[in-house]
Amino acid sequence: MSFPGLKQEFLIRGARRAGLLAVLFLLFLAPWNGNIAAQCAMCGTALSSPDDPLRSAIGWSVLFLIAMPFTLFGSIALWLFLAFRQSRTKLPLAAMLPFREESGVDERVPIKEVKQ
Amino acid sequence: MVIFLAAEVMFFSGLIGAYIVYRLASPFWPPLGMPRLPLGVTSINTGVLLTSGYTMYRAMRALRNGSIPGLKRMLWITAALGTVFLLVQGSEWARLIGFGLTLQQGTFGATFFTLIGFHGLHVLGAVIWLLVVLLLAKKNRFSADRRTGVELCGMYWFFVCALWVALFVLVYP
Repeated sequence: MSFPGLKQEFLIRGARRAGLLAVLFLLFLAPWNGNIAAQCAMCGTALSSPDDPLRSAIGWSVLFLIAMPFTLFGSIALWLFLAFRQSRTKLPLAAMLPFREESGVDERVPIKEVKQ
Repeated sequence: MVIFLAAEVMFFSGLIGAYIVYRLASPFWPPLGMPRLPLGVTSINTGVLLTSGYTMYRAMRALRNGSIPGLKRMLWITAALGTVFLLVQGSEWARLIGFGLTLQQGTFGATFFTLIGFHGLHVLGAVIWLLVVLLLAKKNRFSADRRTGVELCGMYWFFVCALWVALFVLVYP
């Protein structure tokens, strides 16, 4: 799959920003870890009995819910990776170099010159 | 579109998570006195929806090859199969309600109608979207170079089909 009309620089910049935002979000959460765990007290009390089937049911449900975002973002990352790799093999190197619209000058190097 | 579909996946994950809790915590499933879900008819209906996924793929391929009549024909078939799926689901729901399975009946009814109902709403939305795309195709808005509208609709349709397989495996047996 390719991205016609979509510049790779734009995608790479977007991915970098998303990564930075994720790191900032985790840093923001770090001091609150103790308080977040406090919400588990209710479930902990309700599920204190080891024979209660609800305990196992909630465990499986939590596992499923934890796995979903990883599966989802893993799939998207894999799809992006494969799409980038495919588009890179399809496009010549000259097409990946920036085109400065403001100056109106095409600074892309012809393919023959790149090969030399 | 990818972000929208990711949000949809997480939405249904929440519903499925709740369903898993109720199902595994319950000693009997379906609970005593509740009707069994119609596995045979729904299996055939699953086949209908999966076939519609294939016809959607054929529609997208026809457009890539520049065949607008092929696109229209396949979109028609896809929309018709989606409508058949909804009608069969509707008739099965009517039967289940007749047997006493309602949304207010308990966790079984609530989880069943919420999960399958939301999926049905998504299929309905997808069929409407498909008809809009068909209308645009009739006005020659698409070509081999301009196919974004069809491909986005196709992505949504594939999502709805794949989601149904997961729900069917989880809810009906």
